[in-house]
Amino acid sequence: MRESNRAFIEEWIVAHVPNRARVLDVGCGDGALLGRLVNEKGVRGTGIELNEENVRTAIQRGLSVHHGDAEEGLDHYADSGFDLVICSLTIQELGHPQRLLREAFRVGKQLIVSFPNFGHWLARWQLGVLGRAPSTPCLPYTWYETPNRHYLTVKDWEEFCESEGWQALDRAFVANGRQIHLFPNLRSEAAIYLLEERK
Amino acid sequence: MSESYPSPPPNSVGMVETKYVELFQDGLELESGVKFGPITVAYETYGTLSPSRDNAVLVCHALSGGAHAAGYLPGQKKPGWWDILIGPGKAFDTNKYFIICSNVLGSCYGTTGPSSIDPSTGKPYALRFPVVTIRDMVNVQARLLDHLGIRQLLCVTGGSMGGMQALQWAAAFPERVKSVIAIATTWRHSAQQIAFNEVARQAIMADPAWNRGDYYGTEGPRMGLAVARMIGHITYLSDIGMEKKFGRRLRNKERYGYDFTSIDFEVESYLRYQGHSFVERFDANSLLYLTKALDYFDLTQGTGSLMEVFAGVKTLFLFITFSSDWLYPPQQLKEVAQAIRRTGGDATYCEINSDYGHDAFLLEHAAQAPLIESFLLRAHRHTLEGDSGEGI
Repeated sequence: MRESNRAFIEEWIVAHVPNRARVLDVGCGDGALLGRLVNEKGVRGTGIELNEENVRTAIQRGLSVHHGDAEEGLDHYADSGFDLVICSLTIQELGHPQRLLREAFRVGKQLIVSFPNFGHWLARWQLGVLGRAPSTPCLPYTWYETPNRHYLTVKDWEEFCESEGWQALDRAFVANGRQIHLFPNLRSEAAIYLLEERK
Repeated sequence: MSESYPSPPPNSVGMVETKYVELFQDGLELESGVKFGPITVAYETYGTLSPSRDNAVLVCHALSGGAHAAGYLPGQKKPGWWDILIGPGKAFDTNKYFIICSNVLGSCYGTTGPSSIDPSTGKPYALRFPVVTIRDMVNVQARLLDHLGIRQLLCVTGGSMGGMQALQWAAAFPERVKSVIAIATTWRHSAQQIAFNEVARQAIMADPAWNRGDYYGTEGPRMGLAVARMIGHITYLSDIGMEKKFGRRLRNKERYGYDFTSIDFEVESYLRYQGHSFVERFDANSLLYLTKALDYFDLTQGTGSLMEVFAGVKTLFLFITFSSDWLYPPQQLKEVAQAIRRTGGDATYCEINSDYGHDAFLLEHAAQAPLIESFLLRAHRHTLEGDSGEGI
């Protein structure tokens, strides 16, 4: 993911997290985002992270972290224990994103999800015209070493949310660090959603 | 262990003194129901207690440790057992925190144990010493803190048996413990852990020199105690660690000896050295009592589940485990962390990748120090902010 897109997503999340919310960051990395939320928003936050190096950095930031695999389940968190669960740039790498996202709605009231958009025109061009697996600045991996296991587009995601009964309270699309409004499925490199279960 | 222990750094707490206090003149009611006292407690302190008494850290030692956790005692070349982490500018920074370490009930390093003199007979207690538990040890520490005028601890910490005491503290006195750092330990002894301890005890008790515990004034069960320690050391290492450290290397020879009198393998030499040097510094009966205390340890005894134990506990927890520790496998502390979170508590868990097995808790200091340091800062900040109350 481009740094500029990553930064956009981070700002968007910080802007959308209510002050003093209880937050779970699934795949929190080195805790940079969670640390900002704790410092700037006074959230009571905790994270899950698989990579030991990242976990250690996050603990050194003074964060509460669980070193483990989110896919083993979130059953060590109480029902509705969080106001918000963040799953940023993670779902495309998970084995069973549907299972995890449903779990996220068990432990949290709202969900922020961001993901790289595989519907971007460059990816389409590479696959559809050149006949090559996409490798773009946004998805800078060769087919044999990509950590991505799921290739979803904005359209796929919207359909999926609809079928799960999740509605978007807000959403944004980004390319090259700037927000996209027109033709997001074709032009955006990443998408971010704030979701809630439909009543 | 001592062979790979790093050389003492310059930033030491310096010369220290072991202090002794007699507690429980009226007796302590033990978990077994027996009333026992008085109890002498050996302890050391490092750093200065703050005027608001909010910077006290209790360090709990493991099976063969003692109150001497840091600095140097007169006439001794080796510093305390956790000197690498306790001192000015170290993880347990003595410029900031007041560190207390006391020898556990039943041990042989100054606190009353089976080798202590029974005032009613003038002779060592031996097996007349009552069977004690981790809970009893913690009750003695709690009384020591009363004596020192410390109501609340910023942190209770320890590895292995010390970690069990730290967990027991949070379970028994949650309002007295702001935070816990438990390392390479478990919430209850498993069948495998009990099994190894039973073999160690049998090794001691099968030695004729043990004499049903009445061996004081004689050589005592030297071979039995050495074998017990050898078993312990096997469980402290890991398969891969042993392979790296010894492999099949022979000890000072080119080919097998084809006999039983000489030592063939390096690993045999290591175990014999560890076993025999332990005999010089530890009491066999204490090993019986302390392994029994480990085996009886089950945090959920009397409550049913870990979630019930930690329900409503506001203590912050840091759990550190090591990937190759098969004596106290990471999974056991992970279960504690998960139960705490499920009750709405705050638990941080980190599994450090290491080949050192259980010994890693004394060896992987570079990996642990930054985690401990930042966690303590967070716990201290939590205290200063008056604690917003709820955890995560």
